[in-house]
Formats: sequence, structure tokens, C-alpha cells
Amino acid sequence: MNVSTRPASAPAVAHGRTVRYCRRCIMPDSRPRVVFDADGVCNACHNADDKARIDWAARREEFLALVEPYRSRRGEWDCIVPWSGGKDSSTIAYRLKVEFGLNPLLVTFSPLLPTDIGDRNREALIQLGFDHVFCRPNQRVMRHFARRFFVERGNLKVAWDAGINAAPVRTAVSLGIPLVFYAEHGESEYGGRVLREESRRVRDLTEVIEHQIGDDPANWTDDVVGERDLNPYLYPDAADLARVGVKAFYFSYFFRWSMASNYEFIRTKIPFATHPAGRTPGTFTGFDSVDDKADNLYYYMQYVKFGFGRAVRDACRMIQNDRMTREEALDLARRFDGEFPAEYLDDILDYMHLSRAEFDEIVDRHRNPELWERHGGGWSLRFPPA
Amino acid sequence: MLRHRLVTVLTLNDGVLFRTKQFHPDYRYTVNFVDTWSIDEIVALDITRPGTGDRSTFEQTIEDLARRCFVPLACGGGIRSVADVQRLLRLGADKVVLNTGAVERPALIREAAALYGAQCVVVAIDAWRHADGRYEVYTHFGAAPTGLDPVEWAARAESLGAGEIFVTSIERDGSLEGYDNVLNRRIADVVAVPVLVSGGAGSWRHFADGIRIGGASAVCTTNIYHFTETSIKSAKKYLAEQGFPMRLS
Amino acid sequence: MLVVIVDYGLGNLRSVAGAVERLGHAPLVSAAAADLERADRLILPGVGAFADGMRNLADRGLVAPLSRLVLEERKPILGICLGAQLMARTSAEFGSHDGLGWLNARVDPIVPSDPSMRVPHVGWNGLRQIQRDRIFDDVPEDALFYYVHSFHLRCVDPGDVLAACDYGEPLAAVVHRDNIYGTQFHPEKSQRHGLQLLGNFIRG
Repeated sequence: MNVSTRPASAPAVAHGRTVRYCRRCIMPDSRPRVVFDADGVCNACHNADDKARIDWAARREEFLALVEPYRSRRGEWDCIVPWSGGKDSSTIAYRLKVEFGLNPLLVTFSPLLPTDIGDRNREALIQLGFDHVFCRPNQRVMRHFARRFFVERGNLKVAWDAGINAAPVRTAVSLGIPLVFYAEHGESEYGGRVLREESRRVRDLTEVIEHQIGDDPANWTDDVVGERDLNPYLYPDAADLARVGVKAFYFSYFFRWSMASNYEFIRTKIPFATHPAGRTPGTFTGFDSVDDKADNLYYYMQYVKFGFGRAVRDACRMIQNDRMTREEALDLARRFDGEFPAEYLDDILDYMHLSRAEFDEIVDRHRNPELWERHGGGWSLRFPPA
Repeated sequence: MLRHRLVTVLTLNDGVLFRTKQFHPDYRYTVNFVDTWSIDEIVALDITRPGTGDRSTFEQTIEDLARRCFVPLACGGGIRSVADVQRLLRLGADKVVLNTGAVERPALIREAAALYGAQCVVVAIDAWRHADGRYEVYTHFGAAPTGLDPVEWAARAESLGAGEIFVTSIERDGSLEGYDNVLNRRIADVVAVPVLVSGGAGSWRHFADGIRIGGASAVCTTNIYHFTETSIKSAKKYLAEQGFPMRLS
Repeated sequence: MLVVIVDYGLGNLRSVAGAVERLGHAPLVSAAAADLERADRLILPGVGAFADGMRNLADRGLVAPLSRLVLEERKPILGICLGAQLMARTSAEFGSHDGLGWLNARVDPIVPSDPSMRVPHVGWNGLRQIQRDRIFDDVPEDALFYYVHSFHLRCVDPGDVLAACDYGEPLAAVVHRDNIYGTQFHPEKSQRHGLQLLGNFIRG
């Protein structure tokens, strides 16, 4: 931001002890960093509107011009795709290789607890013909961090977030591949504070650390973890990044992003497995984030901490992609949001060395009293979706 | 020998603990995870914008914190009169933090110091760095420019009786990029009272830089992930290893 | 064991009371002569300026009763920070003022030899135990306490200084004579070791 006077604006909605929902989608203002305008519409909805006004043909030209100098001449890899094997990253990988003729190297940072579905979907794309690097960090450390941050932050995937952030870029530096393509810019797509316009196009590490990870992984030494254990989580330093000329972009800046469209696209290219029950616990979709057994709990904790879970998240995206009405969304949210993640819970407790009693106590410690009230033997939202 | 302090700063909006970004509340948290045993000192600030909530929950939080922490507690946010000061001290605050109130009526500093002692009065200065490198004091949660130079204002606040100066870089707030140590050093060099620095602490190295380069007596963090016992211990251990005398539990 | 915290309008009474409660005693915060009379232990807290402290004590008619209880009846009393300083003969804070005169000491401004040392002296500092005393039971040599002051006690008789802290020059940290104790630091704000020391005083 290049301003010489401090912007005096404050968000139209002051966050606090009441919760309001976006008038267009159903995102609550308890979501971190979401901004509602004076009409009560969130910035993710505005972002979706903006998409209709963008000259995508021009953006495509911009993309082609951008990649041309990097394009492989002698068969070397020319770009890296941080890849989970899910609908979004597989769509990007496929289009970069097949549609645009680039030579991507796919880099995966292992899920905490890989699912069969995830393994199969990755294998399906690899079988089409992709080079792949699979990074799996020291599990003693990973499990310790999963437990530690589940306890301290109500998020068992904090270290994983650092890992998925670092691994593709570390690989870029090690192998001398400067171009990295991430999927979507979360702050724009899901409602957050976008302070720099440029960060919609180029991945801003500081933004990632601030928003996703929360603090610098270099801080994470403790009684169990020493400096030599932190490598998988540390971003390469600025000098190395500059030397290789690493640039990380968001695919969503150049090509109109829709997770529903991505799903429809990729299933025409590979046999794409989805949740066998037809939907994942906590939501109505069966095709989103199905590669890690830990995700059910991850999204459940989001529900506990911020009052919205997978169903609300998926429904908002559907509304923003004109696939659902607000009424339908509310109905699905009421039915599925916050569903207890019973599937895989035992695996996760075992992974984190936690007993069920410890787990219950930790979950409740992360409940904000402003969002929850005691009801019967359990809890209910003070301000349910409306 | 006096230790450097690592200070937890809690910013409470309408009674809810929030992380802020350039003073806008963005990420809500819960006070359950604020460790009150390994930290050296706590500063609790009410950042509720007028008209958007009420103060009573903040006061309850102060009372609760005062009851269960046996480290100094400094409280601020909206203090405009000696009566406000007295109310916070009665609730359990050991020190009060004056900001906008002191800029609007500098005599407030002298009045509070005269009644309660300079060591009870912390003057907080929020500064914005303009593109030309000039700094300016802003009040009202970083929204209102004052035309004041923070270095001059710090010196004046000290002469009026401030026992400590608490400096925050507005644009660094929530940035995790490190303190503005140019700003910090200028203020540390002009006053003889202790200086606490805030705004931008991300890695432990930033704390070290705040002390060594910025001249801070105490380094502050508003990052909620720095509030846990493990984080505090890890940070202090790092600083001790860097040669700064710290209080290690 | 009745612990009475003297309420003379200055001082963080709630914090001191909280610490005493934490130690398992039910403190009484009071200025009533009858309460002071039946106390087993007295605590004189204090945050603020010396002159105000003395005036507040005088206004509430506490000087004579306290002096009698302390000097004649030898009731154990702990002065904290300003409370400790008030026990001196005189103070140089904002002019020259008379104190309670229970200790042969005066209160002087802190003037560090090293200009980089700031005043007030704020933060965690150590305690060099000069003489053994039961108030230090289970308080380790490297224990730290929270100090926040611009003035310090200078005792005429070095025997009155049980412990000092280093801030340029040694500053009196714990003073003692007969039934009178004074701490420059705030034990109620010094966590574990502060509570330990406070508990030692109460137990006696």
C-alpha cells in the first residue's frame, strides 16, 4: 500500500459479542478477517461479483506472456505445482501441462493421515503422466506439533500449513525452478483482509504467515523439538529466493476460479474418487478436502472456534458460484454444519497421543463463550445461521 | 541486574480478545490461553470503538486477570480523567496506560502521576510512518492524525510525569515483520524512562532486535500465538542465549 | 492468623489481598483502629508519592495508632514499596518530608551511575541476601522480584538491610528491624517467590 496518510476507515461491522451473517452468502462475521460492508455483504461475495467484471481474456494473455520466458526449452521442469491430488490442484496441474504445454513438477506435502481416496486420486493423475515429489516430514515431530497446536490453538494442522507453504518453495530453490503456481488466494475467495492488490496475483509470504500459520515457525522450538527438526517448516531465506528468482502466483488471478467447475473438470480427465457415503461429515459435498483424515477435525475446530464449519464454508462458495440460493444454503447448514467428526476420530486421537477425555476438554477450552451457550448436556450457537 | 521484560499485550474489543492488523480487530481468540505464569507483565487494552460495545466486559476481564495473575497488570483504553484512572486501579490494575486522553489533555499525565506516582503512569504513543520517512502520532485507535512528532511528544510526556513510554508502530501492527526500530530508538534515546516497544513482533529475533537496535527495556507482543507458556519460555530462552538478561522461570 | 492490610487510600489493596488469599489466609482490608488492634500481622502497601502517603495516613488518624502498635506492642508489620519507604525518617521525594520514623533511614532518588540505566527502576531484578532470615526460607538465591520505583531506602545502619538488588549501586531490597519488615519490590506481583516470601512473613 503506497499511501502517505493513514487510511482512517474502519470496517463497517465491529466484531464483538454479537454475530451477523452476510446478507448474500451465509458467512458469519466471527470468521477471522472477514469484512462486511455497510449493506452487510461480505468481501468474498464482492470478490465473486468482481470476477464477472474481470477481462479474463486479458488475464489469459497476461498468463501466457508471464510463462513464456520460463517455458522449458530442454525438457527441464519449468514450474512447480503445490499438489494435494484434490480437485483444485489437479485441475491446475492438468491445465498447465496439457493445455499450456508446460512441464510441471508436482510437490506434495504429506497429509497428516493420508486417506485411501487421496492416495487414489493422486495416483490417478500421476498415471496420466506427471512427475511428483512427495515430502513427508519427521513423524515424531509432526505428531508432536499436531498435538501441541491442537492444544494451544485448536488447530492440529498449523505445522502442516507451514509445511505446505514451505515445501514447494524449498523444492523450487533446490532444483532451480523459479515458477510456482498456487491455487486460489484465500483471502479474496473466502473473505479476508486484502491489504495489497498485488497479493491476489503474487503469493505474499508474510500474508500467509500472518493469516494461516500465525507466527514464525522458527519460534517453534520447545522441549521436544530443536532447531534441526524445523527444516520442513521453514521458508527458504530471502537471499536464496532472490538467487533462484522464485515467483509464486495464484492460478485464480489468471483464470476464473470456481471449485465446483474444477471438480466437474477434473472428473472428466481422471477417475476422481469422492467420499463413499456421498458426503463428508460436516458438509453436503463429498469432493472437497478428502485427502486427510485430520480434515474432519480441522473443520470441526473451525466450527468450535468461529461458529461455522464445512457446510457453511461449502454453501458460501456455492452461492458465490451461483449454484445455490441462500435459503438452500441455510437448510444445508442447519442440517450438516458442525457434525461431530466421528469418522477417523480414533485414528486422530492416536496420532496425537490424546485420550478422548483430554480431547473433549481441549475442544471445550477453545469454545468462545461469546459464540456458545450451554444447552441441555451440550452446546448450542448463540447466533445460529440466519 | 535488571532483566529485560517480555510483555503480553491483550487487545480486547467489546470484551473479546482479538489479534489486530494495523489496529483493526481481525482474529478473535480466547483469554483461556493467555499464560499468566511465565510472562513478565501484562498490558490489557480496551480497543472497543465508542458506540460499538460496552466497557463492562473489559472491566470484568481486568478483575479476573488481576485475581489470577501475580505479575504487574497495566490497563488502558479510553482513559480521559483521573476518575477513569482510579476506577481501573480499584479493579486491580497496577499501572494505567494513557493514549488519546493524554494527547487531548496533557495535564492528565501530571494529574495521574501526582496522585498515583509516575511509576503507575504509562503513556502510549501510536505512530504512523509516512512515505517520506516522517513519523506522526495518531490517536483514536490509529485513525486521527495529530500533527505531533512522536519523539517530541514522548519527551513532553516524560516531563509531565510519565513513568514509562509504550511505543507502537501502527503499520507494523500484526505484520510479523519486526518492530520499527528506527522509531523505537529515536524515542529510547530521548527519554530516561523505560521504553516498551510494540507492533510487528513475529520471530524471536525481532525481540532481540527490539532490545539491541531499538533500545527497548521491554518488548511487547500482541500476537496471540505468543501467549502460551511454551511460546513464552521458548522466546525467553532464545533471548537469554542471545545474551540478554531475562527472567527464566 | 488475622492479616490486616492497612487501607490508607493508596496502594493496590486488591492485589495484596489476592496474594494473601492465595496463601490460604482471609485478609482484612481496613483502617479501623479496632481491626489494626486485633491483627496478628499488618501489611502496609503503597503505590504513589511519599508526601501523599504520609498525608493520607495522617488524615485517617493512623499515624499514632500504627506507631504504637508497631513500636510499643511490636506487632509484626510488612511494608511494601511505598509502604516500606514511609517507615523511614525522611524522604527527598518532591521536597523534604517526614516519614513514620520507625526505621533509621532516609529515602533518596535513584541516580544510577550508568546513564543508560533508566529511572524508574522497573522490572524483574534479583535479591542478594546479605543476612539470613526466616523471611527467605525456600527463596532461592537466584529468585527475581518485581521492582517499580524511582526512590530507594538508604539505611543508616547497614544491619537493617537484609537484602539488596543491583541497579548501578546496591539498592535496599529487604529491610528489617525487630518486628518490622519492608520490601522495596512487590511480593504480590512477584509470582512464586514473591508469594513464598509473603507467606514466610505471615507464618512468622
